[in-house]
Amino acid sequence: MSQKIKNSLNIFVLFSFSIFLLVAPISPTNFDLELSTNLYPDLLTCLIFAILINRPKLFPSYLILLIYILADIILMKPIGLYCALIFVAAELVRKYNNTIRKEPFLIHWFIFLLCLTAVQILYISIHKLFFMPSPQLILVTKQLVLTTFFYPLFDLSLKFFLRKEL
Amino acid sequence: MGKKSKNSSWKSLNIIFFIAVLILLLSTFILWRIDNPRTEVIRSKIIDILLPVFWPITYPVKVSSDILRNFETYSSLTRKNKELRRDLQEMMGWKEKAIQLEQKNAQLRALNNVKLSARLTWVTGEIVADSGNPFYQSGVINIGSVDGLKDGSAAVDGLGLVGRVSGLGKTSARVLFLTDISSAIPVIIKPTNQKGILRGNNSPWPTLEFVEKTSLIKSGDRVYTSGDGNVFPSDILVGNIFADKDKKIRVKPVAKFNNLEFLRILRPRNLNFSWTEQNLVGMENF
Repeated sequence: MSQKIKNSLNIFVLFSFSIFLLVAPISPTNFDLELSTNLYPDLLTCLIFAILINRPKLFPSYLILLIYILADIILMKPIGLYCALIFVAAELVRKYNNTIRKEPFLIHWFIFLLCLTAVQILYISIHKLFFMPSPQLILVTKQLVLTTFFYPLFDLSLKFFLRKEL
Repeated sequence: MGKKSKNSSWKSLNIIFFIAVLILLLSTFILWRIDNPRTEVIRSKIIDILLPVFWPITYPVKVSSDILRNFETYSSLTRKNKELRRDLQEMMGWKEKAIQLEQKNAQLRALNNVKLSARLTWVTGEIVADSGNPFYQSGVINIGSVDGLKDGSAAVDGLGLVGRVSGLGKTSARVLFLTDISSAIPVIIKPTNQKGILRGNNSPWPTLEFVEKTSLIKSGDRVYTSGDGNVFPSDILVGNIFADKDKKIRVKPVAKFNNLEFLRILRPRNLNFSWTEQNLVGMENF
C-alpha cells in the first residue's frame, strides 16, 4: 500500500515539475542574442524522455497528452500537432522500454536525439504539407542541438535518484 | 493462460486507445488549420483560465533571475559608471539643444495656430509567457479586452514598436512581434520619406520591402510606422536600417526583444471630426 502511495506521489512530483518547466521563463540562451532571439532548449521534452527511457511507469500516457496539449495551447503552436508527434514517439519508447532500459547512457542519449529529430522532421514536413508558414531549418536545428545538450542533465540526475531502486 | 489472455486483451485495448487519441489530436490540428479564428478564440479563453493558475509558478523564477541580473549589474558597476558619465556629458549637449528646439517649436506652433491630434492613451501590461520557439514570435500579456485592448493595437516597449495585439481574451492578449513571419507593417523611412513594408521573417532583423528608391537609403536611417492602413498610429519609432551580407535591407528594432518585460499597448481614441468632406478647401465643386 505504501509503495502505491509513494508511486503516485512520485508521479505527482514529476508532473508538477514538468508543468513548472513548461511555464517558467527559463532562458539560458539569452546571452547570445546577436545570433538568435528566443531560442530556448526544450527542457520539458528532455525531462519526459528521460523519464520514459529510464522508468516509464512514473509518467503515464494521459499525463503526457495533458501536458503537451497544454504546451501547444500556451506556446501558440498549432493545437494538437506537436502533441500527437511526441505522443507517438513516447509510446514507441515505452513499448520497447524493456530492452532500452538496460542499455548504457550513451545509447539513451542517442535514442533521445533520434526521437527528437524524427519528431522535428515530421513537424516541419506537416507544416509544408498544410501550406503553413515554414519554419527556418537553421533555427530548428539549433534548438534541436541545444535541447540535446541539456538531455544528460535530466537523464543522469534521474538515474542518480533511481539508483537505489534499480 | 488466463493471465495471458487478459494481457493480450489489455494490449488490444491499449492499441485502440492509442489510435483513438491520435485521430482526436490530428483532427484537432486539422480543425485548427481550417477554422483558425474560432479555435484561436477558444485558445485565448483557455489561457484566460490558466493564467492565474500559472502565475505563482513562474514568480519565483522571475525573482531569482532578476536577482542574478542585478548581481551582474553590480559586478560591472565601475565600468558602467564611467560609461554613464561620458554619456551624461554628451546628453547635456543634447538637452540644451532639445530645450532650444522645444522653444522654437512652441513659437512656430503659436504662429501657425496648430491643433494637436487627439492624444493616444495607453495601458501597460506585463509579459507572462513567451512562445520561445523558432516558429512563432509572440508573447502573452496579462491585460485584455477588459482594459480596452483591441485586435491590432500597437505594442511598444520603452523605446520602440514591439508588435501588435493579435488574439484577445478577457484578461489576456497575445502580442505578435514584428519579427514573426506573419507580421507586415507599413513604415516610413525618415530622412527620405520613402514608404515600405516591414516584413518579419522569424530572424531578429525583419526585412524592408517595396521601397521605391533603394539607392537613397543609407544604413542608420530611422524607420517609423507610417500609419497607413489605419492599424497603427503614425510616427512610432521602429528601428534603424542596415544591409546584411546579401545586400538585403533589414531593420534592427530598437525595442529590446531579449528582455521584454513590460509592454505598453496604445489605445487609439476614436477621432471626432467636426468637418465633412464638403468643408475641405477645394471640395466645394464636387
